[in-house]
Amino acid sequence: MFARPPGWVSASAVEAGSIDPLGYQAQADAISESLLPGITVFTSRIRYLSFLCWALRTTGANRSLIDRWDVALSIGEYQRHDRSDRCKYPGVLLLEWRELNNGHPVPSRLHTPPVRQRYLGLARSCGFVDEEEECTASGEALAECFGNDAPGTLPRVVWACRKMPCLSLAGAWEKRRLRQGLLEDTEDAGRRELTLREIGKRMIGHPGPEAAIVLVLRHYLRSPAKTEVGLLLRRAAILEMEALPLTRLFYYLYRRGDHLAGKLRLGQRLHEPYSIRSPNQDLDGFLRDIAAHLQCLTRLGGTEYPRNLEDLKKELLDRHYSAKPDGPWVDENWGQLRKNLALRGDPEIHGYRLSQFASLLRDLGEL
Amino acid sequence: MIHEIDIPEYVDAFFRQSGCGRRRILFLTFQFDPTAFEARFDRVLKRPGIRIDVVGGGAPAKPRRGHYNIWRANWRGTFHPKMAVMLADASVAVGLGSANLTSGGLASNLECWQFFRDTEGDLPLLAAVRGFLESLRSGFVVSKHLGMKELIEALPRSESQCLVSTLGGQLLRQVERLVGSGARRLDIISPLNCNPASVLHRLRKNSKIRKVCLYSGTHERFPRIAGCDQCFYLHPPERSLDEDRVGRRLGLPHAKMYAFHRKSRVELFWGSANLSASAWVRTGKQANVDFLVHSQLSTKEWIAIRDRLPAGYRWRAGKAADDASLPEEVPLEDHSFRLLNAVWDGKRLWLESGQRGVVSFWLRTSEKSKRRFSLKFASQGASLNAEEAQGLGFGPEAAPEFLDYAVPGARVWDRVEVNFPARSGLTGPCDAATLLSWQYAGRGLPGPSGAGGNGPANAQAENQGTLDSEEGELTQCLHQGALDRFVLVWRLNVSRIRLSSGRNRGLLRERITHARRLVQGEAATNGMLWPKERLKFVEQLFKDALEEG
Repeated sequence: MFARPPGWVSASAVEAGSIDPLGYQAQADAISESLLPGITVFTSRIRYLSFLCWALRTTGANRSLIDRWDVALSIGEYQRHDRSDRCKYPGVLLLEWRELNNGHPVPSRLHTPPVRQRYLGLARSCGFVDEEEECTASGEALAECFGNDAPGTLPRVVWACRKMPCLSLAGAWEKRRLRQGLLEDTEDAGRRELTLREIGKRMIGHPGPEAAIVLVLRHYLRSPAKTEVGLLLRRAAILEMEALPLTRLFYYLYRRGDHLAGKLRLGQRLHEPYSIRSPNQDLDGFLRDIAAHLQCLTRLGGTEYPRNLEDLKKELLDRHYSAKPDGPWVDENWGQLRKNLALRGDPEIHGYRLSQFASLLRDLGEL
Repeated sequence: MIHEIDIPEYVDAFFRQSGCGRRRILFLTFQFDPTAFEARFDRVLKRPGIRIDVVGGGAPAKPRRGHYNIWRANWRGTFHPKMAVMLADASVAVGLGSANLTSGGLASNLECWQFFRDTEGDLPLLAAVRGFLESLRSGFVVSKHLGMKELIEALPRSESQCLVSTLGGQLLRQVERLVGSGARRLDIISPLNCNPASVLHRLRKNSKIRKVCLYSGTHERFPRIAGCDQCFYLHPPERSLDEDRVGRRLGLPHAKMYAFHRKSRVELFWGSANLSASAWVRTGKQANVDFLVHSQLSTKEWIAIRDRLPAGYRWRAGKAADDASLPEEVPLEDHSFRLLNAVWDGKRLWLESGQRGVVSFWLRTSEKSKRRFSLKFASQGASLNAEEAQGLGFGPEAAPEFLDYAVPGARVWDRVEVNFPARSGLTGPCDAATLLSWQYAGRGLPGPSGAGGNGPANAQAENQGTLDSEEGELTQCLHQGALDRFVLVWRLNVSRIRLSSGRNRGLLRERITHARRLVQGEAATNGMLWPKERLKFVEQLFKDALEEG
């Protein structure tokens, strides 16, 4: 007796890179770059900068060799912390996928693009690396610190990667150098320091990063900004007043098709900015919240959106077609052109890289 | 046309069709990504009362939402099978293949998979799966708290060679025995993590295969592999993916298929075993835990499966490159202490580790709760009593999600998830009767007002109209005294257990044993609730059920 032969596993329900149907990401990114220059959504571990300086020095800036050390570092972190929230590092997801066991040799490549590239911007912005990708004096000092913990030779097998230093265990002196780079030494560092001072350590270190950014933006929605950073945050607050309700409405229509009719009930007071009820539980409440947000947006001097729901839907489609000219998700009747693109949950407001900044500060022991 | 299989959709349909009742699903996987899992199995996670267990080979990862248990396998090598065993009352389905519970496995990789139901043609395979699960259980590879026996009893019992596994000896020998010596050509679809030359050499030598073709990777350049005559790589369709808006981008070919061509037919082995020494040559705990399913098909059918890939992809001949090389595989050398599983059953905290003997270590669930313990680990693990567990923040009805541990001198804390498998999504205080009702019907016990007690609100709606007469009696009896209610409740629970087990006596026995243990556990801690007469009454119900069954 034999078993039936197999078939192929069918496609994904979620396509990678499917966020941002209305194109607000670029605006949010621009604000983030002004608030926290050099920090990206990938730069969450400050000690990686020490590693980068050390690797540049040890390998003579040989990129492929740096990347191999980087893979060993990733595997070491993965072995020590797995996917723990305490020690986030980009390689761990890829390592899970690679199915490596302790006896396997260290793969020559892991990240595409390599993590090195993702952190180089921050390393430059902190003044540890110059434009030629060579270590500066402070970078050399960091390399020296990291070198004290690093193994002499490149680990060849997976289990040997445990010898790579842990990204959570920087010494006090190393932390001081890293802090200077992040918050003191350069122009970018000064800007980050201003952002830190404006928002405050307590808020940046808030245990829920999503809740923290909501609280920050709500504050700047109410209070007039006094500083340059404050003005940027107010801009972000107004942007989210538009992006959040419209993206939520777009997702609803994308998922359900065009079953919404009627008018937006204006005249509602916005009780809680950036809080929108779920359409699955309370459709009326959802529409009321959207109307209240758009009304508030107009009051704040943002774009004025149509009060009629049909016109608003058309406006949404226009915005979507200009954001995704090559691959729109829906046709003019809200029929799905591309399947299963919506996020699992409801879209939230942009993070403005505050959680990555918090993670860097946490590594430094600042929070 | 080769049909494509949507794993989460099949699982959801299985439970949708089965209605309410005793429902379980067990996943065996090497890698586990909670985010991908929760996204794809969203609907299954939302159904009340389904017990979901995931046994992974890698370190467990934090579940984000939904109630399911994450277990870590006790295996020194790599725990590498990919399997789903679904149980709805007495009916069972098994999914086997190469897909991990990760975004790659469930979506982007080229993976092979097949589901088998308890129908005539699939029974031999299900029987072979039973043997595999029995080996996992008897070898303590999976936790004793997993409740594997129930799933095993649901599967048919018979001799079958549809599935070979590394737990039954060297995979290479088992496959050779089934293939014999008449194979001329071998097609292999497998990812390559290390140099497979030694495996290929032995396969060629023993089976006298003349030609070996390897289908792997997405790059044209292949390293030279001794014993491999031709290599193929996965190539996307010619037309632009942008033109095809619903097009799918395939990631890596991660399927594991070995097709031995004989004169008129192909012996196909497919499943979780990579082309590596750990899967094919090593034995005992140095080997991976892997399996291969044995299918037989015509050459034409095999070529159709091999070449008709999803989304228009196809295989293209690769070129051997002298500067590309594959690393050699080396044996394992990791002997550090690891906690594999932590299970809270409301009274004891069970800890499982691969190591034996006395181990001293720190445990904590928060900064304040840090305590040092010295425990003796046997094959069944070790345990902390309620008092000790209370110091770590465990209570009768709630448990912290994680337990951090560190051996003295270690600078970093490791983490293990805490499972509370008895409750499986049930919140709030409950007694044994309510727990059983939840486990066998997906809702709490109906009260005089018809309210179903604990559980998500939609549990009521989902199961409306399925109340049997005994539940109706319990619901309608407005003035019942405590004793009346006790009698009705336990009659209802035992009826449910009996009906859900159908004609499967082994399954019924196992479920009654589980219920009995639950009652005895409650009686031991709360004697007031369980005077002797009540215990006797419930015991008689159990005996009657076993006799009737």
